[in-house]
Amino acid sequence: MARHSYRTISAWSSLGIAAALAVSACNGVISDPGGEPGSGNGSGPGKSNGATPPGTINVAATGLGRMTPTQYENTVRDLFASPKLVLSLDPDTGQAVSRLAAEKFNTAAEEITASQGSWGDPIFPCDTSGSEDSACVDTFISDFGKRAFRRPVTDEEKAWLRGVYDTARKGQGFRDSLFVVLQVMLQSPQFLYFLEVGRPSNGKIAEGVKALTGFERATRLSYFLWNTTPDTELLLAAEKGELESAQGVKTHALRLLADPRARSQITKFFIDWLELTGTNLHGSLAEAAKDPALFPEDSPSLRAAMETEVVALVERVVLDGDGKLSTLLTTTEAYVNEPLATLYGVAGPKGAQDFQWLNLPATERAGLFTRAAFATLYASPQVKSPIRRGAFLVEKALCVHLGEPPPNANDVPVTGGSVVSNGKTVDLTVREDVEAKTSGPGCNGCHQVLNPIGFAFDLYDALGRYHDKETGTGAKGAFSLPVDASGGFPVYDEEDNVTGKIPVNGAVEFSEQMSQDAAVQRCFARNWFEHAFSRLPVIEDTESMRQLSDVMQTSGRVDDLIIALTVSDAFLYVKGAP
Amino acid sequence: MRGKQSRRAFLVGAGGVCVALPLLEITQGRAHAATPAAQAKRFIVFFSHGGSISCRDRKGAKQDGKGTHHGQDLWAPADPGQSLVLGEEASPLAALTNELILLRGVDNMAGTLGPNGGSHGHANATALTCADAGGKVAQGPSIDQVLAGRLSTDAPTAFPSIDLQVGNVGYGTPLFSAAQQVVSSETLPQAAFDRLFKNVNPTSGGPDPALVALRAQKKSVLDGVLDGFKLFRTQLGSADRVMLDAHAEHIRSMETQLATLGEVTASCTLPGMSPAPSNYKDAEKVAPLMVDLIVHAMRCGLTNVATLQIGDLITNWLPTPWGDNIAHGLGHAARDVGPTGSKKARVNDFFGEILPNRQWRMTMFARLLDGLKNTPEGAGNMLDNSVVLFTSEFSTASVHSVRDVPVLLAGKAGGRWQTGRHINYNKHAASNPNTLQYSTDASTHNVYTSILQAFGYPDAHFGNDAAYKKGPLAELG
Repeated sequence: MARHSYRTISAWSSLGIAAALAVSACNGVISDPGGEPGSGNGSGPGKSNGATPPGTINVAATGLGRMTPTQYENTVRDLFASPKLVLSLDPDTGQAVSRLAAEKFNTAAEEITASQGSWGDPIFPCDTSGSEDSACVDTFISDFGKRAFRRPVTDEEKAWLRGVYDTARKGQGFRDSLFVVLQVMLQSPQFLYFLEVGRPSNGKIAEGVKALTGFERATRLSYFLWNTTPDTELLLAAEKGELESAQGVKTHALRLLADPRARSQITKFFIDWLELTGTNLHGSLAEAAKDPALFPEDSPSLRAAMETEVVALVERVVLDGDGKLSTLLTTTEAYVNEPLATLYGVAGPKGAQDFQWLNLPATERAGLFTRAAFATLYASPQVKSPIRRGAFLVEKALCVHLGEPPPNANDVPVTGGSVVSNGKTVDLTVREDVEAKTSGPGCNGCHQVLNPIGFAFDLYDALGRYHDKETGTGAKGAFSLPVDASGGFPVYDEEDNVTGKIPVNGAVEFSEQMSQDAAVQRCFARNWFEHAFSRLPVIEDTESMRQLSDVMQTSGRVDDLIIALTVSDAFLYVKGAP
Repeated sequence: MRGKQSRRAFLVGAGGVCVALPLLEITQGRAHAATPAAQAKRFIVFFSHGGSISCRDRKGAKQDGKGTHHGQDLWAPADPGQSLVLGEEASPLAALTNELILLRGVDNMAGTLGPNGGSHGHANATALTCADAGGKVAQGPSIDQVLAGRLSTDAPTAFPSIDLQVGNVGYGTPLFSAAQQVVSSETLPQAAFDRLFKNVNPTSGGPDPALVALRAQKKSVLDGVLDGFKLFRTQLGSADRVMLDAHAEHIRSMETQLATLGEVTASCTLPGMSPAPSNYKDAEKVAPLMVDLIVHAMRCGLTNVATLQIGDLITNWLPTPWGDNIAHGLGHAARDVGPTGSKKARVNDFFGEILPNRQWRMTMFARLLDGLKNTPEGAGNMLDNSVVLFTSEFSTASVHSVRDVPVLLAGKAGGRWQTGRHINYNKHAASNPNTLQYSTDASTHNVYTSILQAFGYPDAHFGNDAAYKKGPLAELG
């Protein structure tokens, strides 16, 4: 997973376009160029060979994509109309399929065959318990092959699969030989990989770029919006040539977007954006450790309610409301049960089972980033973490790459409390402690940007409770220190230097600033780009990114952004890797 | 039977590519053997992420314990002499001391080429590969996969290697089947059990007709898949072909392994899996089952190579009082709990968390060694015929030091190695066992070259050119 995003020293940086050179955005301090982000498994930046004259269709060259385990499972559930099918697949994210993953595809194909009793659709066009029916074999290969490969089966492929049948038939019965063909299909590269060959097309188009075929577009649309294989209607549209035009693609994208499957993909995008299910570097919201002595109201059920609230908020605003990112960042509406209402300090429904919509105090809470889920996940077991909150927002909401911390950086939580300074014991707030520990020359470059962001969220403790005082017991006894939530919203120039900060006080003001900020809108578009293509945008994607950013600035609606993605050059065209 | 001829005449890469060796190298390789018959049969890596409880800096010198770092070296043996007496961290292995060789003063020299002389991803990617690496990705295969490729080519087993993992390894993996090709590991014992033992029936006698039919059916599927790969490949560019070929190679290897499907050895028994935890992060329950899976897989002849990684991240090892569920943070705290460190007041908390964790890992390692030792084989036991390597990507994780990484070998390599030894390559240690100074010319390159030779392979060198010197370690002749 390419968790990190790059920004570049170039005019394209205002669009969030990646290039090979990683430059830190920490106010001119260059981060370690030998750092690791993006060089790991999976999607790195696409290969870049320079900008394109305006008005010319272009797209980055990309390597062969393949199904994720989730996509595989969704796909076979749809192919066999077997919604409860559960498979054990390897979550490997490397470029090449691992040995374990290959073996598990093999086992999955056997398990699918063995689950025939639960198939909702007849896969074989004849009675397989009867005598051999040669025409049935050919029909099966053509018909099921088209669904499995998401395009018509070529003559060569028909010969290959017929050959598989004939060879198997020498030692096995009619039915078992058909199963052999089926198992071959389900672990064949034609099924597992998303090969995009394209077709020649006219117009002002960069060298090597081709329009995707209708079937290839159907596959992209379906996996992007439903995370599964195209349905019959979409394949039919491809066959009839309806996806040759951008307008045709848009018509079908709108149809797919109106389906419940698209809803769950969109809410999942937001869960992933907030990293609520965890990453390599931190656990999930459910797993975040909290000190029970400090947070007696904490429970697995409360964590689940926090996540429920996020999903409900996304559905209410993005799917059923005005659809705007700015609303999601500023609304005071909340979907809460009693424990969560209590945490927010408002009167709500009784019990943990009943949820209802209500409004949170507008002076204390705004949208998504002021809720318990974000505050709880980005905190240590005892105290809030302005550093983690700030770093998250810099990277995921502003798309500014921080680079690796220097080797002397410390990830032991900064907790505040009693410290000895100049021979005297003093009690510090978390903020004061963070400032003291990050003001050195090696740290300050990044922390002068991310600390003022994180500090704006200091009115939420490690469980998301609103507090204007930090209390505890220090070396000299009990202390109570006022919280200072004054912070700054960073302003970057075209070359990613911080040119200033807009003062904000508290996360409500910060969220308001986010909701109006063009960089946040561009970054949001960029996050969707990465989600859609599993890669970072590069210079060839400049025009596509510009279109997406324009949609965010003019309409601001998430659904408009999604549709714009499906008709962007990056979506409709392909450039093969060498 | 193992194909002796092919072993001597060819080097087989992890990807199955054969390279003919000059005759001179072959004879030199043979000449190293104590007796022609003495060679190891099995290789197991126990990879403990996050280093040992130690205090090396990035150049290898020890911190003196007067500054911000705790300055303790609990990995060091209790006695500096050549007769091994284990230190505090490894104390759960005390009963197995006579099966062990502890190497001190071995650097991961490929790891020193990483950012700032060592980083998590780069140290992982080089720890077993000794290869160049970009970020977390190695440009060559790891020693376990090299041996897996060669041993399973010489004598097919159901699995070339069995790769298991406890917890997350989010900061990098040491296992690579080839350049840029990461090896995936099973994280759930039940899933691993199902995969490894689904066709194993220890009570069956003689060839099972049902298995013969199953083998034929599986082969016809894999044959068909490979034909599909051939068709598909013609449509790809060269970069995509490399990745597709790696996938096809896995299918081909699965086909080779089919020959052994359902075969069981006399010593084969199934490991107990009850109750198998459903959460892979439940380390204390997962780890012993993973160890048992490896021991039983070896007993059943399912493989001759296995790896077990103990992850360092997002485990539930750190409830209170340390109170951070990311063990990475605890590792780094080592440099803040010294007498002038910002967390000096928590020094007891620190050791109270990390020492039990590392000692627990050692009990798991002991469980593995005991399992092998308690399995008779020939005149001795399975451990005698094995090479078991305990290592880590770091010595002192808190400062990302790849100097003096833990290298603890177990097993007699088929009678080739004398165990119960402590060998210290730090040149300053001979005159002063308590020295803080550090200087060595030994690298993991040399250790893995010795291991290859212990299996009868005549390699003159393993890994890239970052080693101080080429060749094996004389002490592991």
